[in-house]
Amino acid sequence: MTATISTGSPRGSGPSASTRPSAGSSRGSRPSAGSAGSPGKIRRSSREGYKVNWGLTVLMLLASLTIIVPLYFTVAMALKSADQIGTGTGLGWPNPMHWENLAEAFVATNFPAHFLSTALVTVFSVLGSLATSSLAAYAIARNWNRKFFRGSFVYLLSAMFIPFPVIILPLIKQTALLGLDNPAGVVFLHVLGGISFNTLLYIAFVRAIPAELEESARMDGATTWQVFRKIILPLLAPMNATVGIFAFLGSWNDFLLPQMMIADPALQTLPVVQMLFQGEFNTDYSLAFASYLMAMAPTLVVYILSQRWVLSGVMRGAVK
Amino acid sequence: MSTTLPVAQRDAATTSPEPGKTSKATRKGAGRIDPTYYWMIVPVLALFAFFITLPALVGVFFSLTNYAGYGDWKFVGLSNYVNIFKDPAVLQSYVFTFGFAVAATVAVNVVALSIALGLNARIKWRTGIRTVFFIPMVLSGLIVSFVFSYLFSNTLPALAERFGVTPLASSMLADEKWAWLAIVVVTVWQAAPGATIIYLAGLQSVPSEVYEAAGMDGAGTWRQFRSLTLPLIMGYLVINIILGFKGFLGTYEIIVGLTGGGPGMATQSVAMKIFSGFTGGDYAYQMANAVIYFVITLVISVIQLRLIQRRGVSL
Amino acid sequence: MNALLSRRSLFKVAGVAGAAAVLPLTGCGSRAGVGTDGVTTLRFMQNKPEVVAYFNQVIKDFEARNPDVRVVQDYNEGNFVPSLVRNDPPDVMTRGFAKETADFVHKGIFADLTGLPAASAIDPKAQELVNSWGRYGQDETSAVPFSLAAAGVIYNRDIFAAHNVAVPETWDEFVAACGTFKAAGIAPIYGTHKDSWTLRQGAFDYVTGGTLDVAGFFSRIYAKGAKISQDAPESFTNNFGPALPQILQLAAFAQPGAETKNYADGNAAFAKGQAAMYLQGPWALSPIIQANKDIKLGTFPLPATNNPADTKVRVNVDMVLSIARHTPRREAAERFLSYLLTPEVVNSYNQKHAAFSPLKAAPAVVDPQISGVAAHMAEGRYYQGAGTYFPPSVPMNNYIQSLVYSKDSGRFLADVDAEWRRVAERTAI
Repeated sequence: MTATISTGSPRGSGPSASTRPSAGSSRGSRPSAGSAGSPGKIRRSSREGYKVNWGLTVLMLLASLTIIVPLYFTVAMALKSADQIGTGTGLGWPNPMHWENLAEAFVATNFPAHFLSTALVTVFSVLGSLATSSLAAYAIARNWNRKFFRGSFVYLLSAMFIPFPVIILPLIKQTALLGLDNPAGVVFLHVLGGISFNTLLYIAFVRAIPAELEESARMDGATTWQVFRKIILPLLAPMNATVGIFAFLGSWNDFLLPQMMIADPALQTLPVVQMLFQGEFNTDYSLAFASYLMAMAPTLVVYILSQRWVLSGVMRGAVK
Repeated sequence: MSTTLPVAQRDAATTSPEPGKTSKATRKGAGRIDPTYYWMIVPVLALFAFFITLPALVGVFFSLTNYAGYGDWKFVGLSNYVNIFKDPAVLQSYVFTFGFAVAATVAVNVVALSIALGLNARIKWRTGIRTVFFIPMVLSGLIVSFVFSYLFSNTLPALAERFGVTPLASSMLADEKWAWLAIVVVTVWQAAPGATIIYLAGLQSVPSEVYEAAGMDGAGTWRQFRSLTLPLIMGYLVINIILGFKGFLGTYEIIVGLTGGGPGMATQSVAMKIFSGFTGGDYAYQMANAVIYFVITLVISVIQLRLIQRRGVSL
Repeated sequence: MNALLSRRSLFKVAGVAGAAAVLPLTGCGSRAGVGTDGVTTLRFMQNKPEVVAYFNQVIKDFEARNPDVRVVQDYNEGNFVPSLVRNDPPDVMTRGFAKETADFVHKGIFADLTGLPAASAIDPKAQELVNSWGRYGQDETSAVPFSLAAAGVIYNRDIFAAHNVAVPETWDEFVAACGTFKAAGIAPIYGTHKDSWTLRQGAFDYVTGGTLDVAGFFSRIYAKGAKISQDAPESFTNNFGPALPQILQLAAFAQPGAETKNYADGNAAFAKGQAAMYLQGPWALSPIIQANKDIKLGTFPLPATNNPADTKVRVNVDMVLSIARHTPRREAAERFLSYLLTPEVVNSYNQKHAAFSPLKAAPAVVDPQISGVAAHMAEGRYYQGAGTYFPPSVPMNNYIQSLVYSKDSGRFLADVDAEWRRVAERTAI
């Protein structure tokens, strides 16, 4: 949720760091870069049969340990009993392993119910983000010569600078008055908070789509809506991947917005519920790490399973 | 904000294949417009105004009151703002936050660029290594910093003791002089992948013929980087610096998870101060702080862009 | 027109449908009021995450006796202020009592429990710990105590016995005991300085509470308002100054590397016998026992002077019970609160968690882990920690940690006096 503060976008997203890249890739996606790169360029990386630089490979493998070791450590800690923790470095693998830590954290947090709540918030935030920002971006990009649309763009971008704490309490009041002090309200805010970045991402991309593609369709009598759905939307696929991924991460990892906005504890999201083990009076490392692991696992699994597709999508989105 | 406008305008110019045609089309469309376009954006604008702008205005208004966040309140004019400027704890938090943001921006970009160069080079198992390097991006910053808090406090000192490196035997987190470094390390860990993606995109947009044509395949790697690669990816560097700096100014979760603002008062960030107002009955006062913070980040972003535009970096 | 329709349907996807699809889920939640089946649902906010499971059982028992009431436990305390903003605070809540809760009392957040029969079973001395903070409307009872914790020095009985050390009754004896342990290569005190709150509740509160009239000091400095300065007789410099060397001395008895240890580390290490004493309240006992069920523990109040008659224990009003002032479910809320105050619930909770029951007819405390402070509690020889009197906007934990690390008493006193004055200035507006 820092995210929101840091980026100034109240998307209630994950850590500042995690929204930032989205911002970055957004700018990175400028078509100017793409046109500079010129279509049909050869990617060095995809060239086959190059001579492998083994020294560098070893160096990169060593560097990747900085990522792997903390992850390994989290798993190891999550499987230790209280006895096994607090001796030595904590890097040793537990013997025997205590899988019951995970079960205990699973029960104590009422994991399935809150998992469902979090998943629904995330799914609708992603869908909402994709739909609203692609439409807004299309309308703005195609009417850039009109003051109204240019103004709308600048206006939407202002959310990037509004610090989250400025809006949160008045927002809580408003959402409560509307009966949105629940996961649906969180969805609204995730979508609206992310709209600046996402629209920015899409606009650059829409501009790169030649107008002729649309014009022939229009001559065949297609309405603007049909043009968007049949021509533009499919072409936006790489950018949809980018926006979707960042919306997913931001929504799934968000802590502060659900914590303050969702009134009913039964509907609370996982990151908030898992704070049960993470307070300053927390005494149980094994349960705490088990809950960290359970918090990390869903995004990690989704990422590992889809990483080929995700990264190429993000990269293409950024380069195009 | 306005910053992006020139970008978009230039984009319009560079990307439309036939500029003449575009302008003709726009002239033609200047009179009548398909209302569909309004349908696409007006509802979003309305929701945005209601859920973002309205509460922001209300929040700014409360900075002129003594509101605690609940209960009754009265109007106090600018006295919250006056008091902010007299509060050394708040000023100290700004000094820390700026110092931290500079350090984190430099460190993140050095690391991210190095990783991107490494991933773009002729290494074996590129996909696997790339997968690993991007993992931190998908994890929650709060959780990550809880994990690192344990590593810094227990594992590192234990390792240092075992290998006889006494200076490291005490935790960085316990040292008022060095706790910020631990926060920078975790920030780099978490934020570098995002910046790496952008650098990778930049590096891959540099066609390999450029290197071949320059006849520099045989040249030293460092020279090649300095005189060819770096200038070509300058735009990406600028983007990473601007967005990174602004993001790091708002740092909150990682500090909460690692040091809680300590040891002592050593790592109190502006965002932490602002959030303390929610529980402390200091809501209105910290709202004034938040408004000042908003103005500062806005001004910095605008200045950065102006400087960049003057230097003629293509954005 | 066809196009218009599809446009609309898209907008449904964009925002409205999202909400519509999530809303039915929210409908089945525990929101307000009496359901169609005549069951009233109460929201119960509970401030101690470590006893969530315990209260789930209490709630189950209550629901079995009151089939027309359902209680949902909420341990997300970060939602409390937002719930006030929403005008929808939890119906029943527990809180630790300190300045922040007193502010809520003064703002009239809580219902008056004066006439409630269950509240009359509370020991007036215990109730006074709450009332001394000021009452809403002069004489309302906004909160009733549920659990009182007596915080002192937890000690390892085996280590004390092995070195022939008796429980110290004066400061000099305490220092001598620390010297004995140190000479034997045992850390006298296990310090968890990384968690700054442990320094505040331990060394800071114990020494100031044992040497000063803390409540009197704060009532004078609060009365002074913004007109406070560092050289005023009411200032921290002139009252807390003399206690600081003792605080630093106490902190220095901790094991080397205390700066890197937090509360959880401390419990684990103390359970392994890595120190003789531990400056913690009874909440630390059960995690220590959990890690080592054979350990023999006791608690004594820190003697901060050389006159044993001065020795007092730090009483922490760990949990108070309140009802939201404007809850539409007042009757059910009172029934639940009264159930929590029945002797079998309140006494067994406190017995299980090594705390003191606030009831007039509380059974004598025989638990050897806390019997060492029972007499002090019974005789009212206690104080509420100085740390609890600070407004939450003063980062007192951090200031105290800074003091312990830098040993710069002058800067600490100047900082705290200045910060206090600034807060007083802006809250006095």
